[in-house]
Amino acid sequence: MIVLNQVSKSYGGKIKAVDQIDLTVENGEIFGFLGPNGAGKTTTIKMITGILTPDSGAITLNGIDLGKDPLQAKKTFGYVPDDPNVFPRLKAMEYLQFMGNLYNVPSELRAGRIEEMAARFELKDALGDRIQSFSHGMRQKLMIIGALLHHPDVWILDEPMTGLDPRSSYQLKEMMRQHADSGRTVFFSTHVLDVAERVCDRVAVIDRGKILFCGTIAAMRNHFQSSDSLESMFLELVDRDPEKAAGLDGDLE
Amino acid sequence: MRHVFLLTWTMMRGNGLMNLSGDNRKKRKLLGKVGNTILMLLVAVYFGGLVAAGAHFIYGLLAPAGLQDLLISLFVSATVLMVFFFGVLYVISIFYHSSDVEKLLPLPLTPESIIGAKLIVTAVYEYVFVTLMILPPLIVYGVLDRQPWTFYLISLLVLLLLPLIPLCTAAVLVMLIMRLTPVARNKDRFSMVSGLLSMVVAIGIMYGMQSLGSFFGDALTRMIQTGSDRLASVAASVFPGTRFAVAALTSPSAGAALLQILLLILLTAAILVLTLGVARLVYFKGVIGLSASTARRRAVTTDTVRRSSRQQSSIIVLMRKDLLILIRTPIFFMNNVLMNLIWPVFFLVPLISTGDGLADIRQMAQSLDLAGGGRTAAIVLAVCVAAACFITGTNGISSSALSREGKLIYFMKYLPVSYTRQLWAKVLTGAAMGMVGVLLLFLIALFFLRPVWWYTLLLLAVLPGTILVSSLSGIYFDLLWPKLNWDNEQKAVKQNVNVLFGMLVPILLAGLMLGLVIGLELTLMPAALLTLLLPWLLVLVGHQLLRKVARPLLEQIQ
Repeated sequence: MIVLNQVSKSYGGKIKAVDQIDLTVENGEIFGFLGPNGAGKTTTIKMITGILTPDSGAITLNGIDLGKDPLQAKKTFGYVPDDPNVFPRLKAMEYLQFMGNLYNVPSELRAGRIEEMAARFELKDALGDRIQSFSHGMRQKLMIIGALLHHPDVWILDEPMTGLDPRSSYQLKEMMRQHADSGRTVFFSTHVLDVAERVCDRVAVIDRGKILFCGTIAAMRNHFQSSDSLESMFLELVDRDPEKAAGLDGDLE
Repeated sequence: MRHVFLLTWTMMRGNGLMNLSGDNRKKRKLLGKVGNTILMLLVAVYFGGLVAAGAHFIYGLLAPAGLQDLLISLFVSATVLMVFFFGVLYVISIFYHSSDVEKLLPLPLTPESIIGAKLIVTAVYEYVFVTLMILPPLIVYGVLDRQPWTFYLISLLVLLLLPLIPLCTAAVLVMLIMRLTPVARNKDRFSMVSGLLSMVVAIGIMYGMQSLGSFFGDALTRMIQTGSDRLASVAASVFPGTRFAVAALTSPSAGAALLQILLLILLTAAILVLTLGVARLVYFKGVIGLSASTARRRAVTTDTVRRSSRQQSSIIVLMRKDLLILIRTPIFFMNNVLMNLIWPVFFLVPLISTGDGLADIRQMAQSLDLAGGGRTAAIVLAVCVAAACFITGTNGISSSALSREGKLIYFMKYLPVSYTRQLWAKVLTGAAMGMVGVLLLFLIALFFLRPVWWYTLLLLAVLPGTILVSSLSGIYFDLLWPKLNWDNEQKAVKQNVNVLFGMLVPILLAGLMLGLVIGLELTLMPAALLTLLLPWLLVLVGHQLLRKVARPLLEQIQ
């Protein structure tokens, strides 16, 4: 479970990237975080993962306050960053062992998990290669395996489908569903609205640092009294006057 | 032509030639610029001074025999050959391995425009070297030989023209090689090999300079004459412009000199046109597809996965990651890893090149009274400790530890490992590499000193604390001003003023301990206590400070 309470972040004291947002992602749900470029998605995710410190507000992960007990909070989640270009000169296996060690994945479980996920994402034949020889998609798969190796309760995935081939994308979506169905949390950002529509239990739309909408797709349809696609409702939301849009803050359910 | 200038401008900005510090913060940017400029000026003055002193010495030897013109021939030929050697390395790196190549290829640019711009960028690098290499001897020659003002004008023209022919020759050679063979297509391997080769050349030059000292009088004059003749004939036969340059500088009349310059200009222009012609024919064919990395696709067996899945301490794991990256990244390897090994080699070369002097030094070293535990033993101990400080301080591993992470610094922030622990892993990485260099030097020292066994143990006991505190001090500078915004690794370690700052504390500490041991006339035991306890005390204080500042400083980095 992820709870954001009145979280704000500005850069250089001027540009408010995230403006007093409240967000609760329940256990057992896949939560999609949507918004146009520069809306505040990645800043929010970076705050949830401890990469950025909020100017104000509090973030808890599975009840652990990130500000007060960052190490325990960080152990609860697995994070896939939006840029998979990490440590290009390490071999894939070295990277996975690095992650396994830092997240204390027991030796007896680690090997099995690496093999199982590498097979699932068709990366087994390249585990002995340096990451720099990988394509974007392969790097993305490696990031996903590394992030999920310790079987975290909370998955935080920033644009996880980018660069994935259809089979791997399908696999990941299946894994997200299984994870949520087992009572745990998946929080992911995406630009691909079709994916959000098909996969997410709930979505939040952020623009100019404010949450414009938070709820189920059905609730959004209900609100707009429309049977349009998520794409058209999304466009209508973010194209609105910011003053009016601010009035839509909060959960519409 | 407009494209060429536009590209040159862009490349120079990108290469940091016009922007020494890549950091956005103004204060830091200014500090970086000032620090880098001072460092560069110091290096330039030092190098130029050395060359001028050498030229002055050689002139003194040649002038009595009326052979002073050989000085010009010697330096011009040597410069041309060096420009060619470095030219080959620069051309491979700037024409083929530079990160901008991928961005330039899709643009509607002709190969001549790209190569024209890249040639200018490479020439700028070469001009820096040529100025340092040829200007001091020309000034020395001009002053001592009472040359008229026209000599300096001719010198300036030679300086501008001289590197172009060897550089173009290097460019043509490399372009043909890259078109026809797979040599140097692996970027990492090439960088590593070329870096090592440059270092071998540098050490060779040093060895040669040291060997000069073992010749005297006529023998030395004869050697310079033979050497100069050989160099001149090689340079002139490969690079025809060398002859015109030497003739211009040694012509008795300004008119004759200008005629030689005119010939040099014509020849240079012809070779430039030829180079661009070759570029038009072969550059794209050689460079396209170069950036695509290849892999053998090595699967890992179940057994290997099992064996490598051993749980290890987070410090060891983080150190291992940093060490692997340091060793496998050519720029980091050359600047951070090799630096530890280079000092022992620099220390050894003068000793070996003096020939008989080796035995004398060994005899002198062994005559030092170490077993008595007096002041001599204390000073030797302090010198060893100072050397350990110096070696660890100059490797720049901890003082560039965060900068080397670059944009991946965010990785440190979401790992479930405390910041202090992560920073200690970086400090220990620097210390481990420092230890390798120090142990090498230690072995050399043992060879010369042959100390009693307890003195050896004493040395081994005082070194770890010294190495650790030297490495620890570097991390604070990088924590305060990390240089994270870079697009090539060079900027993280070579153009990073933190590496310079990181040397300060170890050098000050070395000076302090040496000063105290000598100034207070300490005998061995008090000196041992000082060199053992002071570094550990500083490590303790440093650790407390790190615990305090790690989180707030790392959180500041966004």
